[in-house]
Amino acid sequence: MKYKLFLLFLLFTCLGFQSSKKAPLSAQIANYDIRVKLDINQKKLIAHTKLVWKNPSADTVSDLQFHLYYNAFKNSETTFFSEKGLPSLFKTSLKDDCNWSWVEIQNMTDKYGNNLASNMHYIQPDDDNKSDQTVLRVPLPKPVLPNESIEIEFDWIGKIPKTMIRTGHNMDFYFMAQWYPKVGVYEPAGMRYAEKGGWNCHQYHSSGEYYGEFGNYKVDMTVPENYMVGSSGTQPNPPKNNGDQTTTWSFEVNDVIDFAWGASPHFVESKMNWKGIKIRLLTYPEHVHFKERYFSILPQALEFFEDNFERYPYPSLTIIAPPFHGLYTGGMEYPTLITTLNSCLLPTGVRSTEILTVHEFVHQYFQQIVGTNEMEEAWMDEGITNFYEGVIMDKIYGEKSSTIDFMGIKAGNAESDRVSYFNMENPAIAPNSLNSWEFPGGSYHTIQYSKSAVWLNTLKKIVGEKTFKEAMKTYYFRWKFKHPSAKDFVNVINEVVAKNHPEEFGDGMNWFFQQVLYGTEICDYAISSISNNNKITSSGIFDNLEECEKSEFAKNENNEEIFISTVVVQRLGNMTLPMEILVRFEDGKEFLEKWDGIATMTTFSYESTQKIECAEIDPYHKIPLDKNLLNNSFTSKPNLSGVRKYVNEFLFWMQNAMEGLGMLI
Amino acid sequence: MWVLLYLLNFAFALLSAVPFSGFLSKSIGHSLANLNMLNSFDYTFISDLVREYESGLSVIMNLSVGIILLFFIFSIFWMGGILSILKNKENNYSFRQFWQGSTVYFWKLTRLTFYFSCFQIIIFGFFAFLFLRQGISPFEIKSEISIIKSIAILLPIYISFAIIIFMIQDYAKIHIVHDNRKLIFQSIKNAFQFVLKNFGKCFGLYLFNLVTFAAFFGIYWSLSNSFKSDSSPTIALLFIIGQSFIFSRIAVKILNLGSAMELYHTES
Repeated sequence: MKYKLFLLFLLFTCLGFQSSKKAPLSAQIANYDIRVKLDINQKKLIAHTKLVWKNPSADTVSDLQFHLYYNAFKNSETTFFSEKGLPSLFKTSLKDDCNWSWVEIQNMTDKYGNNLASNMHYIQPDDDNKSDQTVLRVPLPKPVLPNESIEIEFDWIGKIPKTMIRTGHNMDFYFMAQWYPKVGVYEPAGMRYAEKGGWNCHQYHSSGEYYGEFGNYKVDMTVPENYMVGSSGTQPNPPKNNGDQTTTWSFEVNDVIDFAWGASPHFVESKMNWKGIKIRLLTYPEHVHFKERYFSILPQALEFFEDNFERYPYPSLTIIAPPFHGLYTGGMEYPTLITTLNSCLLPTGVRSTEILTVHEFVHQYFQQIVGTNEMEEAWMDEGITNFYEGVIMDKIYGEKSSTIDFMGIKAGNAESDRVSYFNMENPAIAPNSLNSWEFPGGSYHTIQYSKSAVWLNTLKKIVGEKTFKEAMKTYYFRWKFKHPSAKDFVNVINEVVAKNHPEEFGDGMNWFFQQVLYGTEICDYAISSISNNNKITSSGIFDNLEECEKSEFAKNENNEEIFISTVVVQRLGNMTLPMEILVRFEDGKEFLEKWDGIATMTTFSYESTQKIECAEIDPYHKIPLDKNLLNNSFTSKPNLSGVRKYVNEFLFWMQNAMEGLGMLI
Repeated sequence: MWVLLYLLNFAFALLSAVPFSGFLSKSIGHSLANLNMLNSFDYTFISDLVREYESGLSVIMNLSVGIILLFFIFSIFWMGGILSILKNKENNYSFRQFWQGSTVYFWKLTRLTFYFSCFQIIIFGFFAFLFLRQGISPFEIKSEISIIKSIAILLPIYISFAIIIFMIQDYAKIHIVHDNRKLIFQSIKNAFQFVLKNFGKCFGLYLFNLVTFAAFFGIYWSLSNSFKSDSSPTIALLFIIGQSFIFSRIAVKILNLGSAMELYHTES
C-alpha cells in the first residue's frame, strides 16, 4: 500500500513538474556552452566551446559546417574585402599595425574522444575563393543519425578586429558579434528550397547578414574586473570576481539564433521593467541623457507587437549604445540584444535614436523569432522590419514628421522609404529575390530595405489593413521559431487574402508578387488630360440634299448646355495595378471609376450639364509604389496658388543669396 | 539710392524667378499636388518634383547661379558709386556721380575684393585645419564631445576674425574712394592701421550694425512664422514681409558703409 502510495505521489510530482516547466519555444538544435576570456592586451578571445547539435532531418549527416566570421578580416583577398574593398578608415590601421583578425580552432573532439580537427578544412560554397576561410567543414568519423545529437568540444582563439563592420574593439570598447565559431543551418529536404538535406552555410559577404539555427546558449565571459558586460540573455548569477583582477560574467538564453555581447569599463547601466521584461541600457557617460528617449520609445514598440502579434517571449532585452569611437558596431540586432546609435551632435528632432531602437527591436520578431535566411532573402527581415519601423514611428510621431522634424524640415518614416527607393539611379536595377551578395551597383540596401517596405505598404492598402494584419499574424504564428522562405510568406498572404476577398482576389496575390518581389517593374500612372467640350446637335445633310441641319450646342430641357467630358488616363510604367480614379465635376458630384490598369491608356467619358473640375488617380493614396505622384491628378483649370508661394520663396532666397555673396565686396 | 539698389536686386532675382514660375506652372500647374505646396514642407512632394523634373530644374539652378555671379560683379561695380555718394553726402544724390564713382573705382574694388576673399579663405582654412587636426573620425577621437567643445571654442574666434577682416575691408574701400591712392595695398595698410588705432569704435560700430541686421532678421522670422501662407492674401503678405526684409538688409548695408565713412572722416 505504502509502495503504491509512493508511486502515486511520484507520478503526481512528475506531472506537476512537467506542467510547471515551460515547453521549449524552438526545436533547440544548436546548443552552446562557451567559456571565453577577453585578453585586452593582445586583443584576443581565448575560448572553449561545447556544442550539442541535433540532427533535425531524416538524413544521416556526415559533416558539420561552421561560420568563422572573423576570418573575413584575415587578409585583403577574402570574399568580404574583395566585394567591399578595403574601407579607407581601416587601411592605416591594417597597414601599420597588421591589425588583421582571424579565428582559429585549435582542437576538436567528439564525446567519444575522436579527433575531428585532423580532417577539417575550409570550403567556399559561394565563390570558390581559396583565400576566404569563413566556412569550415568538419567531416565526422561517426555520422549523426536522424534525430540524434552530436556533442563536440573545441578550444579556439579569436583575434578581435579593430571595429570592423558590426564587431570589434576601439580604445577600450569591445563589441563581440559573429565572434565565435557558429554552426550553419542544416536544411532537411522540403525546408525552404531544399530538395534534399544539406547545409546552408554561406561565406561572409560584404552585403547581407546572417542565418542562424535556434538553440540555447550558456556563456561565461571573463573580462578585466573594471569592465561591465552587456549581453544577450539573462544573468543566472551575479558576476564573480576571480581574484586575479578579472571577473566572470555568466549569461544564459534559450531559443535564439545567435549570441552577442559587449564590454567596457565606461558603461553606465540603466534599468527598467516593462510588464515583467527586464530592459537594460548600457550607455557611455556622455550619452546618459538619452535614457529617457530609449525608455520612452521601446515600451511603445513592445506594446505594438504585443497588440499586433504576441508578447515579447524572452525575459530580457539589452540595449548597448556604443560610444562615438564604437560607431561601426551600432545599429544592429541580435537576439535579446540590440545596438543603437546616438550622438550629442544631433538635435532631438532628428529621430535616429528612436528609429534605430524601433528598427532593431522589430528584428527581435522578424529574423530572431521568424528565423529567415538573410543571406538569401534579406527582404524577409530587413524589408518587413523597415515596414513595421515605419508603421510604429509614423503612428507615434506622425507620418510627415517621424524621421525628421527640425527647423521646418520634416520627413516621415514610410515616406522616406519611398523617396529613398525612387531616388535610386535605377530603381529597376534588381528584384528583391536575389542573394544578398548578388545585388549590382550597391543596390542591396535600398532594394531590400526601402523597396520592400514600399511594396508591403502598398500590399497593406490594396488588401485592406484588417486582412493584411491577419495575414502577417498568421505568417508569424505559423513560422515563428522556424525558417520560412519567400514562398512560405507568399502562400500565407495568398491564403488569407483569398479567404477574406474571394471576389476581388480569389486567385491570390501572385500577380502582385511577380512584379514587386520577383520583378523589377516600375509603377507610374498619370492623368494626361481632361477635356470639356460642348455637345453639338446632329448637323449636316441627311435625307434631303437641299436641307442642311445647322450645328448648335446641345441643351437639355432646362435650356442648360450639355458637355461631353473626357478624362484620359495613361500607364507610363511597366507595372500593372488595379487603379481607382476619382472624377469631380464643378457642381461637386464625384464618380469613382475602377480600372484594371493593364492597357497603356484608357478614357472615361461623361455627358453632363457640368464640366469636369478635376480627376485624380488613387485618390485614397493606396499605391505608394507609384513613382510620380505629381502626375496622378489633373485640374481642368490651373491652380497656381502653390506655385506662387514657391516662386515667392525662391525669389526671397535668391535675393538673399545675391546680397549674401555681396558681403565679400 | 536705397530704392535703386533694392530695385536692382529685385530685378536680378526676377531674371531667374520668372523662368522658375513658368517652369512650375507648366510642369505642375494642373496637378492637385499644387495644394501640397501650400502646406508646410512636404518631403514627398519636393522629392517627386526634384526627381521627375530634374532636367528643367537644373537649368533654372544653373541660370540662378549665373545671375548671382553676375550680380556679384555688378555689386562691385556700383560699390564705387555708393561710396562716392556717401563721401559727398552734403550734395544731393546725383546719378552722374554714382555712375562716375562706379566706373572709376571698379578695377580697384575688384582687386580689393579678390585679395580680401583670399584672406577670408585663408582664415577659414586655418580654422578648419585647427578643427580637423584633432580628428573627427571615430577612429581618432573618443567622444563627439570633443568635436562640440572645439566648435564651441573655435567658431566664435573664427567669426571674430572674419568680422575683423570684413571690417578692415570696409575701411579699405572707404580709403580707396577717399584718397584714391594708386596702390591698393596702401589702402589696405591704412585701413588696418586705422582699425587698430580706433578698434573700439570701429568694432563697436560694426557690431551695432550687425545687431541691427540681426534684429531685422528676427522681426522677419517671427512675422513670417506667425501665420500660415496658404491663400492668395497670406502669400501676398509673406511677399511684402520678405521684400521689407530685403529692403532693410540693403539699408543696413548702406548704413554700415555710411557710418564707417563718418567715423573715418571724424577720426582721420
